Amino acid sequence: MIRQSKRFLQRCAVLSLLTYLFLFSVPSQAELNLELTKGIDRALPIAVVPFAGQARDASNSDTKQAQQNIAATIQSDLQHSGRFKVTDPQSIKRFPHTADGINYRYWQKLGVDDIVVGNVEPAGIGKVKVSFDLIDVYGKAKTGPGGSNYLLASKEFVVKKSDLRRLAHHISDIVYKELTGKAGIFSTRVAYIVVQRTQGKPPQYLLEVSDFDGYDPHVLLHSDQPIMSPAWSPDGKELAYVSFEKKHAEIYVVDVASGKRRLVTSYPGINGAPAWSPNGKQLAVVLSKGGNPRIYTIDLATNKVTVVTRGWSIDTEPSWAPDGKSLLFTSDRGGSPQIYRVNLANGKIARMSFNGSYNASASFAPDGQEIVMLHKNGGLFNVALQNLHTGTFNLLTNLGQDQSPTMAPNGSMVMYATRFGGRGVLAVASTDGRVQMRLPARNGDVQEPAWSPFLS
Amino acid sequence: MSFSVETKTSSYKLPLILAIMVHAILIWFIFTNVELAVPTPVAQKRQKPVDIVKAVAVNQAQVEDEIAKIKAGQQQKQQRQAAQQRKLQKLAQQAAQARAKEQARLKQLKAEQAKLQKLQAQKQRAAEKRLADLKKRQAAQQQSLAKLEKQQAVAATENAKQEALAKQQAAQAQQKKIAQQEAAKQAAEDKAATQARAQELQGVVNKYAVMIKQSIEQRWIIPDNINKDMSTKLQVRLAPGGTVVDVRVITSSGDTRLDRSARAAVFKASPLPVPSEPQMFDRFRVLNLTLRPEGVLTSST
Repeated sequence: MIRQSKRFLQRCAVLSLLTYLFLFSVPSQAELNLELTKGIDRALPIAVVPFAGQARDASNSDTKQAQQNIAATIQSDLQHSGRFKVTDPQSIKRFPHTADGINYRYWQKLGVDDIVVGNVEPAGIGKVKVSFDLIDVYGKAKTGPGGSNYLLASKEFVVKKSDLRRLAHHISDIVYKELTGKAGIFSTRVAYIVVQRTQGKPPQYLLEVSDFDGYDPHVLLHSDQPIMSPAWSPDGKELAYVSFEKKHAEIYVVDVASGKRRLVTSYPGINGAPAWSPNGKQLAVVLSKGGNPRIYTIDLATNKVTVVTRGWSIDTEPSWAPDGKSLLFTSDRGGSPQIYRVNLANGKIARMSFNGSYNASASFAPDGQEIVMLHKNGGLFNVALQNLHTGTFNLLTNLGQDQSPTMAPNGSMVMYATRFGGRGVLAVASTDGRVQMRLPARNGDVQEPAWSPFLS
Repeated sequence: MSFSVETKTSSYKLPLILAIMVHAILIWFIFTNVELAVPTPVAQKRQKPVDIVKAVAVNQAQVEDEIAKIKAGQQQKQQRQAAQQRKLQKLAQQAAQARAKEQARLKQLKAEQAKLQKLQAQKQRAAEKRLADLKKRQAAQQQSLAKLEKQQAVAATENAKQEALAKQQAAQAQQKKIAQQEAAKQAAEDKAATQARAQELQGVVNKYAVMIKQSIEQRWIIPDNINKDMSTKLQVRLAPGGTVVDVRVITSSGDTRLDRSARAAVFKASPLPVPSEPQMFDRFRVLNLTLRPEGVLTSST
């Protein structure tokens, strides 16, 4: 008895000790704490559901109706940004048009994170009312108090039918901003030169402006003499360009809306490669009035010209840093064309490119951390992106006949001229290297694209 | 004193009674002669009185004769009676004397007897007393013996008790020691078992924790343009089998895109790899995840 009770007591003591340990040690262990520090770099899977009131199949994109198909335009926009993996519209079997009718499981199983749904309905003569919702298909789950954050964006517009495509770009911008944190460039435009060559006739030169994706082109200038190097003013209202209409190079500025233009420089020799300062008050240009081509700045208010680079090398293709304090330019001062940077305050020059024997046509990304350039390697010209801090150097294109890279105002894409089917076309590449896309071909060779700033 | 009084009265009683009886008989004879002339059957029946009556009752004549004779004889008789009386008295006296003598003798005898008896009684008493004494002594002896025995017994039991106690204490001490050793051993074993179990559990937990981490990381699309120093804290509730039941943003990173990407990654990874054993699974019911987009998985395609 005594032995048993003793043992019992000891057992009890051990038990109580264990219980104590259990009680006081378990709560901290009951919940498992995990730290995750890595993810994947992948395009966001998204589905854009055909808007109610519009055709579900917009694969034939040549018709006007198809071009005004909002879902198709958004799909194209997002897909070509490189940041999104847009679900093939053919695989969509459900067509909700508001956030209320969402079967979340269905979209989760379809493998998307977000969906865009919308509705188009008549709103008077020649007008339509368009509404859309951007929905996080994983957001419907309980997320604590007020957990209705599945609806990321919801808007309604009344527009002219002819503006449906522009509206679609606008919706793409909203979606892009919401999901990537950066402003979308789908409402931006691009200026470029079209050279139309007809047999037996002198070539015709056109300065055109279209949507960033090449749709809705407008001819701004028409000349039988070369037009070159269009450049957008920071406010997007003007374009500077080089015209040979007087048989020699001159730099003009044209108002995009009105078509009015004015002459800026007409020096002997080269007047080329205009570039607007970030504040819009100056142009950086290349002039050869001093002998060999050098970089100058021109005050647009006074037309006062200031030389920036000196020496006997050929310096060209100036491009402003976002802070306006320095310029990138191409120079052969090292023996072969390379990218240099000149400090406008003290004139100091530093070489920026070290990869290969030919780098040219550089410009800054909007954050000033990267520069995009044309890189020649083994006779192939491709667009390259160089990070100024890490020194990483990546080719964004691989077609080998690329020219004139111009960066989108949000830095997410680069447009360039290339050749396809025997003629010059425009193409875009995402700066993450995921996507390359050709813009619709124009009637002629397309050259020297210039991406507009954000247009309000 | 009483003895002497009794003796005096009894010494005159007998002769007196005898004299009265004789007189009575004679009177009765006188007055009953006639009637008794006819023998009665009853008289025949009586044997002894018949003898007495026969001798006296004859016939009337005889009776008168007799009476005369008697009357004659009465004087004689009276004389005789007187003599007799005197004789009787004398006899009585003698008898009384004898009786007294006898009584004295008897008395003596009695006394002797009493004496003897007394002596005997005394003897007996003495013997009894001796016996009693003896018995008493024996009893006493026995008592003392018993007492002694008792004492001895008590002592023995006491001894035994003490011994037993000592033994018990020793045994207890031994048991205690053994018990302590056992307890220590048990505790050590328990501890070792607990540690082993904990290690095993921890091993399993770690294994699955790594798998869960990988499973989510492989699905976590790090949003563009995200601050790498930010982190999102999620609380994930799992059902057995690893199905993600609920994901709560406990601490927002400040960028809803990061929060959402983390949450979507967890849901996409559902069901998460968890141990099937219920006890093991309990550790995975609630996961606190901190997602910090420090880098990108290089193996991902």
